[in-house]
Formats: sequence, structure tokens, C-alpha cells
Amino acid sequence: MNQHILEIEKLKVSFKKKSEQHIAVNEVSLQVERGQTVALIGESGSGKSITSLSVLNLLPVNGFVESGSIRFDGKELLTYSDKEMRKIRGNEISMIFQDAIASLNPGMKVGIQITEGLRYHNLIPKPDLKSEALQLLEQVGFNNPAHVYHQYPEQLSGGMKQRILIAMAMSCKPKLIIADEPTTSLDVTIQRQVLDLIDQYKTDLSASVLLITHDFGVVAEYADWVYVMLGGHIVESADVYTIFKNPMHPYTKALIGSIPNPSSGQERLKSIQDYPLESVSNDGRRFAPDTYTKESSFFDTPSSLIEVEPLHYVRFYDEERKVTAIG
Amino acid sequence: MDNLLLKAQNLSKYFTDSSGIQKAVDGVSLNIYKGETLGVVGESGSGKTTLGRTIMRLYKPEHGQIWFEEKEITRLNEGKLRPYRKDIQMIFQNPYESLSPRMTVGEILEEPLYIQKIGTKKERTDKALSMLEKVGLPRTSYNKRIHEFSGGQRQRIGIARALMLDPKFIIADEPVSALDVSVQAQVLNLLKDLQTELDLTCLFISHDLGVVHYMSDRVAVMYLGHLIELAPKDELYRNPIHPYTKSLLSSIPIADPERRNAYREPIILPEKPLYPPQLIHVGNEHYVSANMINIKEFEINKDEKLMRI
Amino acid sequence: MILKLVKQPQFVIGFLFILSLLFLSFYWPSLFNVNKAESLKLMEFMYDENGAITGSIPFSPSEVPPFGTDVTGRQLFYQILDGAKYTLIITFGVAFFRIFLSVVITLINPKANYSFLNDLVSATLTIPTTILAYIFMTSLMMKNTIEPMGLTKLIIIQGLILVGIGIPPLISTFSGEIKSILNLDYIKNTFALGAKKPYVYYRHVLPELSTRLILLFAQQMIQVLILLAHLGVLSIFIGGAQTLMLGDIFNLTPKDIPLAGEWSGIIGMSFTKLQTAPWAILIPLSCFAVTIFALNLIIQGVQHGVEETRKL
Repeated sequence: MNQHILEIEKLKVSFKKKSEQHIAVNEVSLQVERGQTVALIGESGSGKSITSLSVLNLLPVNGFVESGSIRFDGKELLTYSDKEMRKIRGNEISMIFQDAIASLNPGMKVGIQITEGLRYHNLIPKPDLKSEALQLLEQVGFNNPAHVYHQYPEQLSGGMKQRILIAMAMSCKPKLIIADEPTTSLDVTIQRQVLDLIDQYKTDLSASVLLITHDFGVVAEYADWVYVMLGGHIVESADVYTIFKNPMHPYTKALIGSIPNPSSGQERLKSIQDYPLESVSNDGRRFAPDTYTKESSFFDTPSSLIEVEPLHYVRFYDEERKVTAIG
Repeated sequence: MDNLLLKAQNLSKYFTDSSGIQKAVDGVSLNIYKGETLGVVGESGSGKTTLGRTIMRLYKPEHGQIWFEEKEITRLNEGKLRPYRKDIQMIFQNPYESLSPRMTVGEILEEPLYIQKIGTKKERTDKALSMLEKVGLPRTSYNKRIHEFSGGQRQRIGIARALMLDPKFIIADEPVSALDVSVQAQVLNLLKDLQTELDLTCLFISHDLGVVHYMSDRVAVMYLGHLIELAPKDELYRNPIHPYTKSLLSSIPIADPERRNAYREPIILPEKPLYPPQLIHVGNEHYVSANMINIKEFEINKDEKLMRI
Repeated sequence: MILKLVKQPQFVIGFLFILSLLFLSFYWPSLFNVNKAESLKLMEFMYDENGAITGSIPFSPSEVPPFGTDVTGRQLFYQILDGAKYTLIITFGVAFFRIFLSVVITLINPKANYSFLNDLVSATLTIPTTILAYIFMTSLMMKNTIEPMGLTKLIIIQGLILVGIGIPPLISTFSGEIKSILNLDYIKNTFALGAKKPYVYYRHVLPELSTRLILLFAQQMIQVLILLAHLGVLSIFIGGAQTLMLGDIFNLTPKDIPLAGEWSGIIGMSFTKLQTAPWAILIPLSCFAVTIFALNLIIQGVQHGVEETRKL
């Protein structure tokens, strides 16, 4: 058995806008180990969501995979037909989206909705569907599943909807869960409940989680391994302890430093301007806030991920700097 | 106290919609002293934004009074309110929506002066240019339009606009929640620097407990339209009393994997009481709503038991 | 904004068409070097060099190029050129006042709910506006025949009817639109500075509405044009009519001749002769169609321009 449930190698995804072609994901490689939570962290426009969507072949119509490979459980997903992909989606890989409201059918009872996947994949006999649904609802923390079963999405609060989505995602007992900003629109008390729930499932079913987020706090609490994404590239990757103890890339440092932390009593937040890009870049323009989210020629300069210490990779932009950075 | 800047007493604002009356803010009393930052924290539906806008008098409150510098402004009409509009300014949440897309940065910055009829054209321009510098934008921004700026830069312009009238009091309503994390820090630092430099009093509204802690001197917790706990920030974060505040604080993800803790404080979301709770002083300038605590547990000095503002 | 519109070919073509139509309409006598009264005079018969009658009204386009004549023998080509200015000015005026009045009414009390109005509008959508206009217009005409009023007064009242039936749907459009604009953060922001209402309306709300206004204006012009064409078919003439006796002594037929020479009048006048003189109807109708097409081009141009501004 393969050690990694998901292996993405040199994935390149482009978008066509009129005649221009815009690279959203550039040579991204990442692995999700069985039973682990892997976080893909980045800000808006970094390409983190596009990476996750291409795993399930759910890219928007004007986006397409140019090159690379996506292997799930040893199988190459990019060569799969639509029909074969449908068998994978929901059944072996399920996805939890950010927008719980838009992801549920407003005209369908939630009890029926959460077993849709089971019905579609014919996993359990029809008479057992209802009891299965009730059991799922109980697992995601509803005290009165029989009552919730008959409700419609609009009768539920945002946090409850997100839990329904999780129940849907879990119903087919997938091996991999992709959670795309699962808690961004939720309040902090509900965020914790939802993330705990996902974590619980991961442990119970020894599944794996690919957690897509912009919040380093969430990463610190739940992830085992971290990939930092910036402008379509992975700029740093390491296990969660290393990345917090010894961040190397200035962008990672800035992200970690800019979190206000009530328990540390810091006097001043570090922001991106406070990092003079000491060892990595050639000049300061990369992290000027208005340039790093946009596509800029800078991202086209050759660069590579270098292993700076065992299992800690950082992207460097030219050969000379690499030497000074390690030395 | 003599350095009281703004005082709200028993403030309520209701909205009517199809499902009846929504008490967005119900019986909130607050004191804001000169030079301090009072953080207001709450989740969606807690009424924190409504509170800010009611204090700003963008809404007319159903009950209660607002005093600004010892003058009551609760029932003043727009005309009488004009002089106060100069002293109280607001920074809005979404910098993509709170600035007109049709005006140049210069026009946006000079508009407050124009509306309040302050200064000549030349003086307004000078002030706008110096304000641009103050918020860390180049003077060349003056003739540009809003869509040429990133979110963080727009929020800087929003801050500059709020400061154009030399206000005494700023209400910042979730000023960074629409921004990327790395940009947030810059804007927060800028706000903090300007606050010290210009000796501003600030009401800082946010859902993010980390941000509120970073910005504020005292923190007020709102829950379902009620003010339930109010204390100096270190006191509140170290010693939360109300069960909801406890849940809120224990829910913040800690950005340090070494301190990961499998134990979770249970999350308690109490029912909304029928009447706005009375706040009780439990020492250390710490006030907490009376309905959720056992008063006997606290050694309360009889004289200051009830917070009478 | 204007610069961007000039770059839109559809807008330019549509706009130039309307402009040149107006220009021709005012200056055609000097441009074609003809006498206006002479070329619009009634003509019953056509004579050859010897004075023999070679044809009688109405003349087809092959007999009197390019468009033939109507049932009274007036040259259609010149009539259409001359009528273009009335048609366009009436349409323009009616559309303008519809928009203007509904914006003003909405701004007087932007918070008003108009829910009854919305219900009314959606309920009356099934009644064609032509019928509504026809009902009002016929009673007006009736009154006019009993106690004639002046031409200006008649035109003003008719204009008011045309304006009035278009306002309720517009108010319900605008009240929603203005409400959402007033809820924008930057408008709130400006009120928070102590700005007065007229200032905010003038400086922020109207610019925000402006592109929408241009579009609605062009749409209203189209609606009014269609309405005029329909009314023409129903023999309602803007500016009233004069009854002429046509035919020979043995077969006198009263005929309503529109006083103002706009296009719908030409249609209405000739409608009974649809079989014998189809060109007298089809040609003015095509003129309506072409003008509407030009206005549609303008709308498209504006929409393209707006999209491109958004992309920035």
C-alpha cells in the first residue's frame, strides 16, 4: 500500500481570459499522507482553491490542467473519464465547501440530502437510508436528529448547515476529505466545533484531510504538515512544528508574525513591510502588498524548492541567494 | 469622571422586519474615556455594528441617551448634529464599498472638509496631501481613482478620510476583516500609530478576539444585543467570568502547535434573557452581567455593587 | 464615461443615425432644394405633358419615387423626413419626463415602500399600455371634438397621458434601485460627515444612477415609439386631426388628416387603405423599426462601455 493517499506532482493549471492565458497554479507538488491533516495555506489569489478543485476535476469552465499528475491511492486521476470521476467524487474523496448556504439544495429536506451520496453510489440498501441519515446527524452533533431530518436548509443556522455538509461529506466514508475554507464565514465558537468534528472523523475512520485555509491559527491547531502557497507556487513546506519554530521564507514569517496573539502580549504586530526579505529575494518589490497578489513577471523567474533542513523545503529564486540562505 | 468623552445609557435600537421586532441592541450602557480604545467584540448577530452606528447617530435609537462631551445628542436632528459629525468619524468594514468609485482620492479626502465648509480649496488640497503621507501613501495617489489601489491601500484612504476633520472620536467597524492577514497587520499598526500620534479616542468593533486584544485598552463583549461583560483587556482575557466569554476565548485557535491541547472547554451559548442584564462590578474595573453569575462568589464592595452610570 | 462611449461602434452608429435623421428633418427643404409647401401639397391626380390624367391617388413608389404618396397624395418621402422631428421630439420629451418625474418622485421620499404600487404594476402588466393609452386618448379626443381646445393645449395633455402611463412601473424600478444605492457604505459614510440630502443626491446618487438612467432613457424611447406606432394604427393622432372630404361628389368619404406630421399619423391615416396602398403603412412602420434598431444599438454600446469600466 502506498504511503500517500494523494500525490500531486508538478501540477500546472491555467485560466483563459479572452486571448490571455493566466497561470493560476504553477508546478505545485504536494503529498497527503494517510491519516494526516495537511494544510494548504495562502491568501486570496494564491491558487490554493484551484489546486483543490483540480483534484476532483471541478475546475471552472475556462480553467484547465496543462501538465502534471494527480495520483489518488496510486491511481492517476487526470486520465479518468467523467464517469469514472463521478465514482470517485463523494465516494472516495469528498469536499466541504466554504459556502454552506450555496452548497445545499434549499428545496430538499436535509435528511434526504445527506444520504444522496449513498443513494447515488448504491452503498447501502434503500430501507436502511433513513436510519443511516439519523445516525449521521447524531454524529455531527445534533441532539434531536429525527427533528432535523425533516427540516429544510433555510430553517438551520450557518453552523448547523456546515455540520449538515460535513455529514454529507462523511456519509460515504471517504478516504480523503478536502475542506476548502470550511469555517471562513462562521463565528469563532462554531468554527471550533466544525473543525473538531472534521478532526474527529479523521481519527475515527483513519481518513486524511486536505485543509485549505488562510488562517495560521487553524493550521497550528489541526494540521500535521503545512504547505504555504503564494502566487501559484508552493514557497515553503514542512511539518507544523518546524514551520512555526523556524519559518524560513519571508512570506511565511510575515504570515505567522501578523497574527495578533492575546496570550503572547506582543507590543507590535510584524507586518510584511517589517521583513526586509533578508536572505531570499533580490529586491523588496516582491512583498510590496500590491504586487504579490497580482500576477507579476517576478513569479516567472526560475526558482526551486530546496531542502534546507531534513523535510523542510523553501523556495529560492536564484542560485547565489540559495547559498547565503543556507549558510 | 472628568475625562469622560462619550457616554451611552440604556441604548436600544430595534429593527422591524417580516418576522417582527428584532432587538439588535438592547439596553447597552457604556462609558468611553478620552484617549482610550474600547474594543467591542461579538459574533454575527450580536449587534456590535448596530451599536457603533447608533452611537454615530446613523440610526435613531428607540430608547436611551447618548452624551458626547456632556451634551446630549440622542434626539438632535441632522442640522443640529452637523457640528458633532465633525468630531465623530467612522472607518467602515469594507474598503471596496465605503469609498466612492467615481471620485479621485483627492476628492474623497477633501469631501469631508467641503461638506463641513472648512478651509479654502488650497488648504483642503494641502491637508489631503499631508494626510496621504501620514497614512503611508505617496502624494501621487492624489489624482488616482480607487480601483487602482489594493484592499489595504484603500483602507488607508478610508482612514485618511476619517481623519481629515481632526475628529476626537473614531468608530472603527471591523476595519480589517475584509483584508488578507498579511495586510491586516499593516493597517492595524497604522491605526495604532495614528491613535497615539493624534491622541484619538476609539471604539474598535471586531469579531476577532486577537485583533481586539491587540488594539484595545478595555474590551466589551456583546451577545445577542446585550452587553454581557466589560473589563480591561488583560483582566478579561485572563479572567473571563461570563460563560459565553469563556467559550469565546477558548475558541480562539492558538497559533502555536506546541500548545495544542486536546482538552476543550465546553462551548456554552446561553439563552437570550428577556431583559437586558444588569452589569455588576466584581473588582478590577471588571463588570459582568448579573444574571449569569452567583453574586455570592464574589467579594463585592456593597457601595459599588451596581454599576450606575 | 463619454470617452468610452465614443469608442463603442454600436453607440456611435446609433447615435449618428438619430442625429442625422433630426438634422435632415429640419433642413430637408434646403438640402434637396425643394419648396416645403409645394412638396407636401395635396395632389389628387397626375397629369402628363398634355394635361391628361395618367394616374390617381394613392401613387405607388414606382409612380412617385422614392416612397410613393399616401392616400391624400402627399409625397411620403418628404412627409417622413418632415415628420421625423416631431416623432423624435415627442418621443424624447415623453421619455425624458417619464424618467425625470419618476426620479424626482422617488427621491422626495426614498424610504417609501411603494408596495401597493408594485402590486398594482405587476397586476396591470397584462394590460397592454396601448389599450390604456387608447382609453385615455379617445375620451380626450371626444372632448376635443365637442369643445375644441388649442393645438398646444391638446398636445400637452396628450403628452401628459403618454408620460403618466409610463411612470408607475418606473417608480417601482427606481425606488428599489435608489434604496440599494442609499444603503451603500460610501453613501452612509457621506451622511456621517453631516452632508445634506441634496448634496448626497447630486454628488453620489445621481452619478451612481447615471448609466442606468441612460439605458432606461433609451428603453423608454423605444417603448414610446412602439406606443406611438400602435396608437397610429388605432387612428389616435398626436396633435389631433382635421377632417377632410375626399373622393368625388358621388362618393364623399370623410378622412382624418393628422395636423402634426409625425409618423404614427401617417400610419393611422392610411390604415384603412392597407390593401390598396400597403407601402403607405409599411414604410412609416419600417422607419419606426429602423429608429428602434438605432436606439437598441445605443443601449448595447452603453452596456459594453459599462462592462469595460467594471473590468478596470
